[in-house]
Amino acid sequence: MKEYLANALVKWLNRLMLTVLPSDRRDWGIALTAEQQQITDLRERLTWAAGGIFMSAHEWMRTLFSDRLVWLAGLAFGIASAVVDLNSTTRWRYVALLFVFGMILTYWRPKWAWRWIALLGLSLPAIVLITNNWGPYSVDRFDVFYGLVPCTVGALSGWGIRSASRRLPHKLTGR
Amino acid sequence: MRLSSQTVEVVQALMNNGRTWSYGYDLSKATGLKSGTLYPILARLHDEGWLENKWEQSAEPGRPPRHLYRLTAVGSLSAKRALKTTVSKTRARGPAYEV
Repeated sequence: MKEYLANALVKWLNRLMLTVLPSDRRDWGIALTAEQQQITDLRERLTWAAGGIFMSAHEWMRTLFSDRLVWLAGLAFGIASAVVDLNSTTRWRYVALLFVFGMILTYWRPKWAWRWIALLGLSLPAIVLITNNWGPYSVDRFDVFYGLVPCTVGALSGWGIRSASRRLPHKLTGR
Repeated sequence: MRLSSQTVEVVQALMNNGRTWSYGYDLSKATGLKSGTLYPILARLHDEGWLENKWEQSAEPGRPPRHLYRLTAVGSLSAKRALKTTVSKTRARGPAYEV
């Protein structure tokens, strides 16, 4: 019974690892699980499988923060647009900026574009929270999150432009 | 490439094996590293072009293919150079990790 449960747990850990691992690291996950066949000790096999979860977390973080330059640009864009919004009488400037910045960042790095949407869209709420200067948002504080909408639309546009531009040379050359 | 003490251990284990292919589990036993530490290091070495790998079909039916690893020629040279630098830096800093 104990062995059955341990084996079930190992299988579950393996499956979880392969689900969470970024696609470019899947082979490494499969390689890790294949080695478990060589391990006879149940506890050691469990530790080996648990190591797979550690690897998934490590690789996930690596992928998440791999594009340092894009992160820095996103942070600068987010702060700039938040400052513009807090010092402007109209919201359209902020909306336009977020749309353009979302588009640029996603065009630049389309992988996991939700990172750029979150970074840009949450810059204003973060600044408002840190400085405790709610300004026009003191009436309805949830309004401060509205920037997420133009970011998402911008990101979708950036993704669309990138996809179209990748297809264009093939169409022109007929390949 | 920055070499952590754990990466140094993996590289040394691979260098000791020369051009012979190594299994992940054997490398884990040789270095004492757990799978969660070993495999990200192997993947990074592969990304840097230091490591080559291949799949080996199991002789026993029903068992999955295993991954084998060895240093590339470039990896071997770079590893030697990097290990030398690590040693000289370590010596300059005082008694710490010994390669």
